Amino acid sequence: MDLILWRHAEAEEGGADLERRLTPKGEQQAVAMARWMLARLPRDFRVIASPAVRAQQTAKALTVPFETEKLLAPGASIANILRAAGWPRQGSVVLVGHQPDLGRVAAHLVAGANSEWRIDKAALWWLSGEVQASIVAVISPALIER
Amino acid sequence: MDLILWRHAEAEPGEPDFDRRLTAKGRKQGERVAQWLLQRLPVRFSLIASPAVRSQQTAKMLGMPIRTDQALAPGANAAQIVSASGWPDYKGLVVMVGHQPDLGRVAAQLLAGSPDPWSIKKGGLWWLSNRVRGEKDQVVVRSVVSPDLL
Repeated sequence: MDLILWRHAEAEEGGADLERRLTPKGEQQAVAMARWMLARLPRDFRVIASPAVRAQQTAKALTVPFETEKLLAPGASIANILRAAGWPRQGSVVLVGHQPDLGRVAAHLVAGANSEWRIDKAALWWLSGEVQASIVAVISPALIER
Repeated sequence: MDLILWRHAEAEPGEPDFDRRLTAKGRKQGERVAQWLLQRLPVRFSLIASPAVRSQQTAKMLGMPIRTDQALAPGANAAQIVSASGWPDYKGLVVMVGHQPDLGRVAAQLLAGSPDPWSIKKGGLWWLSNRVRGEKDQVVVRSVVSPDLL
C-alpha cells in the first residue's frame, strides 16, 4: 500500500485551533504540493483529511473529492491514524493531518520506533509497504520547483 | 550539518563489480538528479565518492572536485561512512556517493539508531540534517527522492 502523510500547510496563529485558516503562503504551499502529487501519484487514490480547517483547506488543493475523518484531528494516536488509513490493506491513501501525530506514524511504520520525526508544514512523506514501510519520497514546498 | 546520501545510478551488469559503468539510462538518472541537486545546494559543499566506477561517474555529474574515499566502497560499514562524512559536527553540506545496502544502513543508523538496510533506489538520495533544538540533537529528513520522481 502507498500511504502519503501530508501535513497541513502554514496556518494563521491564534483563535480556536480547529478554526485556524491557511495563510496566503500556506495556500501557495498546498497548491504547489498538490500539483507535485497529482503528477506522480498512482491514478486511483483516496484522500482523507482531519476536520481542522487548515487540513481541510490543504486537502482541497488536490481538487479531488475527499473524506473527513475525526480520527485524524490534532492529537491523533498512531493506532487511530492507521485505522483511518486502512493500513496496510488499501491501495493509495493520502492523509492530511497534523504534527507530531503524522511524524509518529512515520517513525512507527518505517523504523518500528516510538519517536516523533519532524515533518515540515505542507511537507509529505510517501511510504510504501505492507507490514514495515519504506520511504518512497519526502518532499517539502521549499524543494519543489516554482 | 547537511548530509546527502546518493546511491549511484543504474550500471551495466558484469564483472569485476568495481569497474561496472553506468548504462545510458543510468547516465540520464544521474544527470536528472544532479540538476535537481545543483538547483538546491549551497554554492559550497563537499563531494565524497566511492572508488567504484559507477559511483565516480555518478558523482562527476555534479561538476565539482571529487574526494574519493575507500570508506564508501561497496560493503562499507555504516559507522565508517558516518565517520568519513564528519557527522555531526562538520559545518556545511556533504554529498556522499556510494552503494546499497551501505547508504541505507547509514540513513537508518542516523535516523533510528540502528543500521537496518533501508531501501534507496538507484540514483536516489536521502538528504538529512541535524539541528540542535534546545538541548537535543535532532535528525531531520529534508528530502528523499529518486530519479523517476523528479
